[in-house]
Amino acid sequence: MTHSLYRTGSYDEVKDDFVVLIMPGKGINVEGSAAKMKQFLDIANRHAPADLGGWAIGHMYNSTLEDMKDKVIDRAASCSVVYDSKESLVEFLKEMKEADLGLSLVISGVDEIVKNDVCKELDIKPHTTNYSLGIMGKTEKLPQDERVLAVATMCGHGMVSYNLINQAVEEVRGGADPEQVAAKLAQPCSCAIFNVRRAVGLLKEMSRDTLE
Amino acid sequence: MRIDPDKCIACGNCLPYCPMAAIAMIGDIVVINEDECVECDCCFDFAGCPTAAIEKVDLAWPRILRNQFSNPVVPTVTSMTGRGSEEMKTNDVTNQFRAGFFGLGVELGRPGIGVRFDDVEKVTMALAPHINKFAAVNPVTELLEDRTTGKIRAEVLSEKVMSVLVEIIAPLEKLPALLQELAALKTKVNTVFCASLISRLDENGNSPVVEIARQWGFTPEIRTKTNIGMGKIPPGYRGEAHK
Repeated sequence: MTHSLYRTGSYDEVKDDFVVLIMPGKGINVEGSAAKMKQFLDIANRHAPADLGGWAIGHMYNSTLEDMKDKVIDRAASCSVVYDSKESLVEFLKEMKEADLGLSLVISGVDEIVKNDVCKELDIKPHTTNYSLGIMGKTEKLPQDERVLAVATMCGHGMVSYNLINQAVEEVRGGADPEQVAAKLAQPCSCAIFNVRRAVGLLKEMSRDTLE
Repeated sequence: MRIDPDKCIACGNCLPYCPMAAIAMIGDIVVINEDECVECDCCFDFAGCPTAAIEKVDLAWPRILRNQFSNPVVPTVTSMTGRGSEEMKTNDVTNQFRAGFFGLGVELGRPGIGVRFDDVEKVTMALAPHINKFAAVNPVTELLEDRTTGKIRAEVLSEKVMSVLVEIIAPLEKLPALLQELAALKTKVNTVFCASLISRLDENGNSPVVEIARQWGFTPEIRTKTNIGMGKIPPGYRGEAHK
């Protein structure tokens, strides 16, 4: 999930993009974690997720909540949820505090919003932070259109190719439903952290540009 | 991965699915560039080949590393998926990153470019002289021939994978030297890489690494990833981890 750390975009573009991951510590609290992750999925699903699921269980664009829960096992490693509003995140966290599952919970988002707004409001004391220093090296190899990069980095493992995004833009320009096209882009993201709603906006914007 | 030429109808549906752009139409034949293919399985799993012409092949060592480092649902040698590390995600129960120390994560090849292990070795060898240790539960650490020099096993150096996460832990006073190494690496590797600093937070939710990074020319991004401390160690746990 380090991969959610490097989502690109300006403050306004990422301020409402939150990824939450739940994970047991290997050799520490894995035993019994499956039931807790199922509880996580239930709670997360109640607050209008933009994506939900996890490794080996599928996600909300290729499975159902019940099917995903059926596939959760102790060694499932992690489950994730994406929210596109601070309000949803706050309501979700209130329930998670109440549930007190005892598994590690990580929030990826704009630092000042997560810490100064969300955590303070809920009296949560952050434990450890991973600070991104950005993308370096041969950056000239990256797509020139930063919006393509913004879509691609929503699957942190790089499974959504630049060419597939370019094709998606062309499909939207040709009249395809942006929601369906964005949901198709989410398919390769097996960790379920692809923010489909944000992708819809980016695809619409890029398809308009292409027309001009 | 291979494409069976007897089944392929050259529809081209699979081409855009390849994150490495390693599938090409040559004349009326679709072929996979094996040297560029990172065995991520995207074409097989998601392109929906109408004639099932895309076939997985048994991967021998060291090519199998491509699959383990590229398809996030395939377990690595650490038995973990993703890039094979928990890093700070469970630090509230593992306490791997303690006060007075920091973690540096360098992920090469991402986003969307890929990396060969000879470039990874440039990073591991640059960092090794300055650090206490490479992260223990990490598949790159397992490929090190010598953990004191950062040298990687020779037979894997030409393998290409989607991305590789190098993780180290070091005392805070080593951070300036490591940031200087990081700055130098920007022009030494033939791919892109992302870097991040991991730090336990103080009572006020702050970390010293932010200011040190700024002093040495790095500006932390507005997005962070924060473990909010909800993990708990089960009663009776006898391991080394502790809060």
